[in-house]
Amino acid sequence: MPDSIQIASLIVHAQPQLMAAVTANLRRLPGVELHQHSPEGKLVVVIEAEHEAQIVATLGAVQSLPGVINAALVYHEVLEEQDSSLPTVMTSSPEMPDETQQT
Amino acid sequence: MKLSRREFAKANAAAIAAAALGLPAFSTASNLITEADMTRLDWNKAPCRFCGTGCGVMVATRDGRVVATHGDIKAEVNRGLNCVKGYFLSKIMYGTDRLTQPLLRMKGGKYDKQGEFQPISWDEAFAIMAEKTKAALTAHGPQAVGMFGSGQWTVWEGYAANKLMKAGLRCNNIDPNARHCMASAVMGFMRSFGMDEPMGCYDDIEATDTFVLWGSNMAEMHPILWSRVADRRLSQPQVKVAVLSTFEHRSFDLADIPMVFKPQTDLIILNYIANHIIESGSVNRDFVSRHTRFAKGADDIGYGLRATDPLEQKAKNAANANTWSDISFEQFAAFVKPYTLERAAEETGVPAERLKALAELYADPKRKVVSFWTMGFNQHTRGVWANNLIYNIHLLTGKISEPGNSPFSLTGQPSACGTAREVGTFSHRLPADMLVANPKHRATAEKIWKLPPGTIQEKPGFHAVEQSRKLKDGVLKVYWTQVCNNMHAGPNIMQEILPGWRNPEAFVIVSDVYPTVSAQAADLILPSAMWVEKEGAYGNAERRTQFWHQLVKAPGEAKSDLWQLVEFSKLFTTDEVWPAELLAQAPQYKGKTLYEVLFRNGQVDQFPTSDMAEGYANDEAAAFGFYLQKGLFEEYAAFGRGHGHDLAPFDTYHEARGLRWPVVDGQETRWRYREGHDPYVEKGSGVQFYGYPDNKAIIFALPYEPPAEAPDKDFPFWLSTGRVLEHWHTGSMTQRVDELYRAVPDALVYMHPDDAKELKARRGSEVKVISRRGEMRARIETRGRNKPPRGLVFVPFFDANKLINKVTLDATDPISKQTDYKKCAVRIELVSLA
Repeated sequence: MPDSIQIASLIVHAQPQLMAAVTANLRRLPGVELHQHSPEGKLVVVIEAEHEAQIVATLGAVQSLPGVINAALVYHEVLEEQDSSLPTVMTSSPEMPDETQQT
Repeated sequence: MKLSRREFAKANAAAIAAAALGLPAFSTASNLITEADMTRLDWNKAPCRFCGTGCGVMVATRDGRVVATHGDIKAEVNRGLNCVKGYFLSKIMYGTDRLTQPLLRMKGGKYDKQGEFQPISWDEAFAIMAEKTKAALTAHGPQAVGMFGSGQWTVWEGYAANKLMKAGLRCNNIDPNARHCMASAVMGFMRSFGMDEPMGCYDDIEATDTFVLWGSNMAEMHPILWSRVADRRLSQPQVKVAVLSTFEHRSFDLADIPMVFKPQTDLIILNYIANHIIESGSVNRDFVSRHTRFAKGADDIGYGLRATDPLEQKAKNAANANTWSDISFEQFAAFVKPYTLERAAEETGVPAERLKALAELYADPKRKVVSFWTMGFNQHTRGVWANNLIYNIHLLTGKISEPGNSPFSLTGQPSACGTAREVGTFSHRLPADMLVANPKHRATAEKIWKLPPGTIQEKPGFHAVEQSRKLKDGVLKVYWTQVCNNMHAGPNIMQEILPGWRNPEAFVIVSDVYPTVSAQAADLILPSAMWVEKEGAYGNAERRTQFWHQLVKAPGEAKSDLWQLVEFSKLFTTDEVWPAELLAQAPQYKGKTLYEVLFRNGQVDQFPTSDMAEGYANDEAAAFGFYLQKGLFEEYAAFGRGHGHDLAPFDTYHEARGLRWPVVDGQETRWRYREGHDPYVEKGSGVQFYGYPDNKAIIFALPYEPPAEAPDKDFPFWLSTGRVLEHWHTGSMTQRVDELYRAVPDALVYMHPDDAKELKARRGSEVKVISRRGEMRARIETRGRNKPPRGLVFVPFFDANKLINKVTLDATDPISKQTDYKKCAVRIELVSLA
């Protein structure tokens, strides 16, 4: 599926004292972006991949990193290539993103 | 500001994850909405199709197909998270080998047990089923017919099946596959509390200081609850986690006190902890004297094997395993006194200081404790005892029925609680914890069902393992299974199950969505609808009842199990299946079909299709002309309302993200038996275990007894079986999701590297796992997620090409009749080094 992109997010729980090592190792994984994290050992990770299998493989890799206690998938979206570069509309709605999808 | 779709998608994904973690979202993400998102997909709620956790998912449909799912952020259970199985839920219905028409083994245009599967119509399928059923009933009576169902049946499917079998065909040979999964938990609750299902709920996770896992690998089997446990552990420094298992697994990553014990010796640890609590003066005297009493259970109860087995003939109390007599606190204290720390350390193999640390977690009056367990306790020839013994510990310390203090039996199937247990689809049960053997309970059921007295048979039917034996022995002639895969998941396939199903005298019907091992071993295959292809209800491990709407159509001629059961009932008249004396008591039913008597009884058919929520299909309501699911649910709810099992009105559940019963005056109950939380507890009493008339729970004196089979010189290894994260049970759904299949394609033999070396094998070598009953081949894994100690191998059971249940032993707990899949003896032979 070269004409689509997979976007997924995970939350990761890590041993707080090993956070530096965990984040350093996470940055080395291909297609992985680090977002928010907290001192208690919680991290938000976003994965971009060409195939869903890569997401599962990356999840496995994250789970097997030293210091990682748990990793759980939260969100997944498949973007077709033709619309992945299209601009999107921004509104000022204060609602959570997921609420907008729950029609 | 303009973002590309790709940047938007990433920001959106991160924002949802952050919200799930309780972290602040970046403002760029939180204000984003695309017009496309608003219009292109239709989102609805549903509980996940897999395990007993009961996560809420949002399901997106487009053009009559499920195209996406994500964790439901409004669901209290999972708060937006998904495990890898739930993540790929949208794909489980679209395997290329979906069954879409009935298939019958035929030769020369006629049914032939040795024939090949050929497509037939539903009318033809029901005709041969009815012919075989009537012939069996006429020649041999109701005991010749059986049904094996599931904790994956929706609530109304289980209820309709139970009613059709126990009332319609007057046959108690109906059992759910939850027998393999939860039966010991049920009997543990019934004996200790007189009432089934946990007193606490998942909210205990955020309220406790201590987690103890007994035979539960939550990190893989209940990953979403595990993320809540991990979150609690990391957020609060005082929180401790103890993990007990017969081998090291992923949950050990979070363990402050890791413990690998020798199989079966959990009974010793449990009794040691009770002894420690007493000897250290940590008994909560006030609680114990007001809310408990003591009993000594029958011992030497056998192993649930065939009656001819020498182990059964030797057992003193095999026939009265579920009996007990009253004792005093002092007698109980004397009973557990020999379970000393020294003995426990020596016999379990766990270092004494860890055992003591564990006992002190329970004994410390300032510490709250949640105990979690699953199949390590339940799939155990003394599984009921293990359940009773953990309640002992929580009762002696009074750490029960309040936020954070909770003995919590986790479940494996999405509706093991909601359907198998609450609806009472076990061979000995009726709805709302009632029993077929109890004349008052039968009378209650007959009254609600508007049936003449004596309709329901008194004798419990054949349980799961006994059904296999009775097929082999030629006693069961017609056998219908729905939503389960027993030829794969049942024990001792080669000696018991396969010879039973292929017995020339047996006619076996399998309703399923894919050609499972069971379907391929059947004589007639019926194509089923699944999950959001029908309206459904599940009940999870914390007593939460959750509904969903039908969102898409089933493919081809596939029909829901509910439609199959109700439509099939039209083929029988009361005169054909009830004796004349019974019918004489209810002459109005003469000549009527079972459909008319059971489902057009003025109750089940009382809600018109106009009651349905607008905008949703309902293929069963369309087929029968009334709101069948609502009618079944409301009739069923009559069993429990006013008796501590209260369910809310039907329509409420389509709105709520599930409610935990008892639901009284619109309020759910989070902690049962506790004043202020549970409306059934009388004011001023504090705690009432009202499952028993004296409002007291029972603390049981039960000893250590050895397992049915242990390693010896011919079969020197312990074999334990179980699951892996990526696959659910027999893999009939998850193996069809490409990504999950490729992540974990084959079952492996997890083994200690030194054991592999001694066999002159290594990681990747192909070996045979051989028991006294059968063998299977697989490759060795010495470095994986599971790390067994020397002398034990672990093999997952999901893989249809590597059936470990050819090897397992059909020993069961004599009280619960649940199989012990965690202990039998095997030898390992090298096939190729690789």
